[in-house]
Amino acid sequence: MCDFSESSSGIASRERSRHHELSELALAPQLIAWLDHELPEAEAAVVEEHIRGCDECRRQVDAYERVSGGFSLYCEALEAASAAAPASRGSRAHSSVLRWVPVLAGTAAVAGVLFITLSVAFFVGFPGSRIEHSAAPVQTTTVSAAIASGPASRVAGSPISPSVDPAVRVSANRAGVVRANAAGRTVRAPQAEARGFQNHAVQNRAFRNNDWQFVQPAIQIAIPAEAMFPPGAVPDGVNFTADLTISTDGSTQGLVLEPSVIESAGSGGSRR
Amino acid sequence: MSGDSLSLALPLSKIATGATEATTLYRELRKPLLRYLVCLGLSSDEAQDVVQDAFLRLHQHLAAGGSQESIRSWVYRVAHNQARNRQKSYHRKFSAPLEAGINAILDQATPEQVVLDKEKFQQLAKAIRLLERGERECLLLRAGGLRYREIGEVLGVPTSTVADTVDRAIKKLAEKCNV
Repeated sequence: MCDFSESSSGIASRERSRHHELSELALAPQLIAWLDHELPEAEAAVVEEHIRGCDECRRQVDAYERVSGGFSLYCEALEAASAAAPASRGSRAHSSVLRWVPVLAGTAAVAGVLFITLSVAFFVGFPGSRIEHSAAPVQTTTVSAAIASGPASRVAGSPISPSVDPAVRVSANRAGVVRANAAGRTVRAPQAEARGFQNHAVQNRAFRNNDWQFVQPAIQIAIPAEAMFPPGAVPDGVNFTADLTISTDGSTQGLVLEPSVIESAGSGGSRR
Repeated sequence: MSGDSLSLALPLSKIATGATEATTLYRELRKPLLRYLVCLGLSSDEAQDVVQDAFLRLHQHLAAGGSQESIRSWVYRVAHNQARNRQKSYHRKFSAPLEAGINAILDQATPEQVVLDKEKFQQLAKAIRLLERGERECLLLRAGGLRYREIGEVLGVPTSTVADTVDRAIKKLAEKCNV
């Protein structure tokens, strides 16, 4: 219900209050601009007059001034901190480096182990590789080759037939030259008979770990003596060691025959 | 409109012809410009480089007969753009330095800390970090003494936008800090 007993002075006061609220709403966005001296003179005068009579707006202006002052102080402090930063930044960098030392050491250790493992794998051979290594600097693989002294029928299938003889060495140096030493005019050795022909010539295609060149070490050749020497030219009990040098392209670089005397024909051994 | 702009109302017509005026301008603008760049996120050394480069460009600009109007905002704009380019190249954010510097600020025994309670200061710093980049830049330029018009020229926005942004930012800070 309306209170009709309200005096005219009360109505006037309420009107003033409403007017004040309206002007406050209108002037509120301009308080900061007035604070920053950004308002035109006429508007600045209106705002100033309002602030003078309005506690709330005066309080707000004070708050805005404090915030502005705090922001400026914050900028100054930030600048001072930045000027003092290089020394502490250096110490922080040093400490961060120290913090990474264990990680770096662990990484180096793992890398070392991997390197050693890979190195061993290269020198010893990958799993499945059938190459055999000697302790000599120039690695030597024992494969089979022989010069057959008997008729061609003694070597199955063909006069030139692969056979296995552990006495024959094929060596390769780092330049990739294959060197084959064939031991004598012998027939198949007992060991070769036992395990049969294992076709090393095919299976021993392996990487040379040092220089990553393909080497085909197992060149197995059985040559009848009659094909190399005239009948009766070679006395019984004499073997020849063929020192065959083959380049990587398969061409023969040299052949040296060294005679040797067989002590016992049945043993298959030879004596130089 | 303000009084501080009077000290910078240099005889700019003479700057192009003589180095003395340029030196005066350098002395007046160097410190606020450095502070602005540091607050943007540059290191002290980087800020020095940018200021040197900005004034070198100013010299070239004036020597080439460039416009001498709003020369203060011109210098700020050059420095501001260079700072942004450096921040882009280093993939840094504008808010990062405020975060990084807060501890150093609070540990410093400065007279300002006597005035500002440590807790309130921390609260203010937190509120500043929550501001948008444009709001923070406006307040930084305002703290450097630039007029709204000049701030608009530096940031490439209308003066009315600057007024609204400053108003909004100050009210945000006041609200967050319970001032």
